[in-house]
Amino acid sequence: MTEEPPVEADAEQLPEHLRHLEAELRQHLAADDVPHQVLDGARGAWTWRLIDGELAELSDQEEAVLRADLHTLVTFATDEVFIDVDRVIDPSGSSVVLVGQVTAPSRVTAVEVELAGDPPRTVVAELDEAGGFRVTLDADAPARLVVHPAGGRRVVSSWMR
Amino acid sequence: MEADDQVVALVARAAGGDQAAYEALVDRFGRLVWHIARSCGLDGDDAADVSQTVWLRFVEQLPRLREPARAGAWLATTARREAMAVAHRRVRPIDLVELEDRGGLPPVPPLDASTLEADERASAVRQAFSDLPQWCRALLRLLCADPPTPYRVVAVALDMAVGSIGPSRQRCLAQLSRHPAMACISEGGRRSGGGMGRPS
Repeated sequence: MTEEPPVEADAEQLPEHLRHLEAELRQHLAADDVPHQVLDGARGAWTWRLIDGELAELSDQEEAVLRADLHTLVTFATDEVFIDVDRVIDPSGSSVVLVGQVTAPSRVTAVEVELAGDPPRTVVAELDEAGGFRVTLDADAPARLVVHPAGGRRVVSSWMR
Repeated sequence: MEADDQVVALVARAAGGDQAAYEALVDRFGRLVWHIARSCGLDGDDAADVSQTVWLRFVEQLPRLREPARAGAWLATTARREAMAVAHRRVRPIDLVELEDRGGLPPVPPLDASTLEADERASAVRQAFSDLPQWCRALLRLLCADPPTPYRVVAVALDMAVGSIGPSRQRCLAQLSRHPAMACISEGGRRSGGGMGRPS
């Protein structure tokens, strides 16, 4: 495979005045370089690496596209565990309500919501007899759900935001 | 070692638990994710949120990436999708009360003539750029990144054919040069009647 597509080579084919203008624009946009805190945050994502659990991914990729809505219904699934979540974002962006249901072959008593905020924290919601839960979160931090089926590996959902 | 091979090696090491390899991937693609988020019209806070979400998902998916050589393309696609979702639901008016609480706008320092000229020129570029169609801003932002974003990654990020990027780049720059704000500013910042940057 070639190392780099011909970005610079293509620039040489631009008319001179556009080449100058692009250089000027580059200078202007350089002022909007990625802040180091953002890169620190990206490096910090490593601490959330999933080492000892099974990932429950969105069961329908089409739904991932619909996340633009303030009100979204998604299902995370492994072969045996399903977590349906109705996620409602307050229009002001100040709170998020998760209403859901866990379906698993063995008993699950609670769902943990891990929030990758600063600082990171975990909220625990008890499940009702039908496996239902409801939890209100006070920030729009990335969140993922964790359940511990009796006798099985813990199951961790993909991140939601 | 070629770039793709380096990425494949880094992804393999990171998937195996090598944090240094993961951080090398952040160094390599962190700017790309940021610029894609910003090119979708997000402000700095939202772009930072998008970056965090994208990298959390990347860490989650590392052991499952089917084409490690396309890690950059995966990040670009995820960043675009996430940024568009955020852009869709964020219609946030300027909070004047909050601005006042922060002490209002920062003071404007006194400027000499050359600073004024440069400032005028920069302001014209800014205005012309902000008036470009969104896809043009996104394209130019990625191509003007340091280092420039490879065409194949731009193609994935913006859902364009690689072959159309060069001509689109030229069209967007031409449109930028024809903006009224640019037309009345000559190079160096002086006002001119002829219009800078127009092909003669």
